[in-house]
Amino acid sequence: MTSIEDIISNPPLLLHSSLSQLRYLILSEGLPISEDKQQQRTRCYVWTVLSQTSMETSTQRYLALLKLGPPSTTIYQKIKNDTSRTFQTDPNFRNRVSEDALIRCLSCFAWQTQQRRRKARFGEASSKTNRIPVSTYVQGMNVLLAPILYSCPSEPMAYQLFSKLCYEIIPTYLTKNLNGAQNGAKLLDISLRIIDPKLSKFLSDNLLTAEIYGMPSILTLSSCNKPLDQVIKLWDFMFAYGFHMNILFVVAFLVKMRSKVFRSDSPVNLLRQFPDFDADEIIRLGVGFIAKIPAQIYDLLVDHLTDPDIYIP
Amino acid sequence: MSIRPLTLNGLDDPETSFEELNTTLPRFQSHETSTLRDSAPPLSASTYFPTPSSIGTSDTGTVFSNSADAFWSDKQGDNDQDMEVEQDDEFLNDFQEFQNKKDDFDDAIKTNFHLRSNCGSTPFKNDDFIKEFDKKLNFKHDKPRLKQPRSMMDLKPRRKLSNSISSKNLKGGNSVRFKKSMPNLALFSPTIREEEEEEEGKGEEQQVHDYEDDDTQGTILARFSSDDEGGFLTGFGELEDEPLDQTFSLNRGQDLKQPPFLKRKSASSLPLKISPTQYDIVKHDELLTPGLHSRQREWNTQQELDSFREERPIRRHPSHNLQLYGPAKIKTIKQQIDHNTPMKKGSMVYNPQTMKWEGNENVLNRFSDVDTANRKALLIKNKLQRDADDYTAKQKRYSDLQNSRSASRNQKVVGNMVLDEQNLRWVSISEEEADPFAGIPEINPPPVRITMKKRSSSPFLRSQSQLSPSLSSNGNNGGHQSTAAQVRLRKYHSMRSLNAPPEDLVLNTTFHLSSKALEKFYHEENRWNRKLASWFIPQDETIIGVDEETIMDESTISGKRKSYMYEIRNMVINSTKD
Repeated sequence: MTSIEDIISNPPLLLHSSLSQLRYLILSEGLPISEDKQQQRTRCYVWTVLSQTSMETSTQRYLALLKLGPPSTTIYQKIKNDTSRTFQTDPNFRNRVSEDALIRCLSCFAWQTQQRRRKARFGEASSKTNRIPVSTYVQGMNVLLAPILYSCPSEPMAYQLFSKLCYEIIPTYLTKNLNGAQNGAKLLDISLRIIDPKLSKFLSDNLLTAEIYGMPSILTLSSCNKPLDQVIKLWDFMFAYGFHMNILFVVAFLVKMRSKVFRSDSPVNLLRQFPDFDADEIIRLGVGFIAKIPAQIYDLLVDHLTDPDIYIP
Repeated sequence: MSIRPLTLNGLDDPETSFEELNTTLPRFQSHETSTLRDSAPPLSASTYFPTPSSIGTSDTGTVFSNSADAFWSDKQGDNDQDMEVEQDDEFLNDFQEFQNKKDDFDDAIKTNFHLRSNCGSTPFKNDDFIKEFDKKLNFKHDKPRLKQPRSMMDLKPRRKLSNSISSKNLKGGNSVRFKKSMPNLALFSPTIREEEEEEEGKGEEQQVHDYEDDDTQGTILARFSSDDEGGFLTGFGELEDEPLDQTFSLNRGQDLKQPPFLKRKSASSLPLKISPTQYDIVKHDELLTPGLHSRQREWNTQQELDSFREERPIRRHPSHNLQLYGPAKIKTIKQQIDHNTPMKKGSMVYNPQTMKWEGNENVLNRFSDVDTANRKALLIKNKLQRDADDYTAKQKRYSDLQNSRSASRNQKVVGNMVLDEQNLRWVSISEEEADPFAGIPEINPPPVRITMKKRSSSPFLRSQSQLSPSLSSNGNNGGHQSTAAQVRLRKYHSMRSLNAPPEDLVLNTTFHLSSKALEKFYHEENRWNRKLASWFIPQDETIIGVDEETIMDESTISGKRKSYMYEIRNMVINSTKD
């Protein structure tokens, strides 16, 4: 921990190697789960560094978006509908994150998305990722936002991280038809078939496709699973080594509960909500699976987050 | 005959009263007279036959005589029943009817007494009453002959008799039913009492009045003994022209309107076969007074109960009914409350003109007292404590309180709390309490209009107006243009423009950040900047997407961006190779 704190406290001599060092420390040591404000800040800093999300002028931009008020009623109603039940059963989350904060961030995101679309229409889009038509709001964004708000010391920073995540890290997941998430489900199917053929066969024999049991975890980057503190640790790792690992983590979830699935009379119900998990165990399993994943599949795992044009049969 | 409002509920334990009946009935001797009254003959003292002993189940109001001499005379025959043991609380039974009437005291009294007079008490000099009574007797009867039992039965369903004890008795299914009666305040009237005692002698002399043949007048004195059901029943033979049930063929006069299920039990449980319609309890204070029997439940405090307490002890609990086994008396009961007979019971005087009982008006004062400060302080303490007005008023009160404290010490003091008469609240004697509301500024939720004005001048609104050129002119001033701005705002938010103002308030709170929050935002950003700015070097080609608007080579960005995603793979592959 202290070493992570040390690294981010000092200016990196070489950014690239310093980032690699930081990643490795996340993998080997990890950030502690703590209620401590300073620890919370450290986690946020690590996330921003790892994702290279600058917080400069973040407050200014956030307030500028906030001034726009609520988005259109349709979007606003959708947002409110979901925020009211975001991690409702998690008292820690409820204590730390107000529903209003969720509403504000999601509203700002809706505004910013509209601005980006306008820019894209006028040909101002600067990069390929900027042209990905991210939705103003899709169900699940609230769950994506929740761990970030939970981990960041201030709303503008959380929003900045969130928009970074949505626009640049997993933009394909948030398109209108959830293209990327569907590709993710296909990749999950493929990965499971490679890693645990028996379980994969059992599930497909029960007409359970990855789209059924894996979609929530894919779309929300596993943040729909409990407990939230373990989700945070998963995210620590994924900020470090990439959110494509989420697919392999979902495989790890499934493998972990495979014996239960085999015994279950109703695997559908069993898989509806994954049981409480230990992040270290899931990470260990997921990383172990990498060795079994062929390079092409790994490429697809990496690319499906940002490339909307990938077609996976 | 008096048709008393029968106690509808509040019968604590009908079964218990039934048991009483059984135990006491063996003592009953031969004959009881039932009173059947139709038109009202003038009241005469000679027909006034008090019975020496009686038994009454006061709670249930079921009364029957247990002496051989007991009889009910019809018209003027006053069946006077004395309760051997009565508990004080019993008096409250008089208010049972109030339970049905809920809290309307006056209405309940009126209703009771009207009902009573309407239903016919003994002799009516008032023609209207007689007519009305005849009407009641004719209720559901086509026959010119008025049969007392029938009319009684007719009235019963109307009064929801199924709940009454008498109906329970009737469930016995026997021919003998006991009518439940109400307490009669008149019993306690001294004047009446004298009369009754005079009559008692006469009554005993004329113990048996056989009115078997006198059915036209409806006056029937049925003589019967506990053993001789048949003999008793024969007295009604002439009345039985419409037998409903074979079992009760002898008695069908009174069974006519009776549901069959009511007829089962009484034979087995009651040695004494008396149809409730055969006797008429016309005078018994406990039984004939307005049915207030269950009212006692409504009185919360003993104090209030005491306010109704009469000197005469009244039996209340079923367990106390055992005491009835003692020298139970049956008296002929006569309805005393009639048109113009003044009556007195305790402090109560019956005013025949107004048909009201008078004398306890001061009891009602208690209720008006409830609103006074002293009472309120005792009863509604919490409310008073919650009584928090606006801050300034509070301050004023405090000063007032302190003045009054120093001025007079003869205030209401409980423990170390003293009643602040002016503010109607309790405050500590010893110390000056800190105002819990001190330092909290008064927040008056602004009316919607004002809210809209505020919004129109808020930075948020300005930004909205930036989006919407039509609004920009109104953006910065919340003055006289605010109405127009408001309209346009509503237009702008057309989707939710028709929403109720509360939503606007909610939105306002959601999208309004306190200065404290803003301060925190900037503080955190600066803090981040101080610590991590060095990780983000602008224009450095190794930096990935510092600003989303920074134009960079697309492939470079994506390449750099994705390279780290292979790091873990490289590590794993390398480790497995080794």
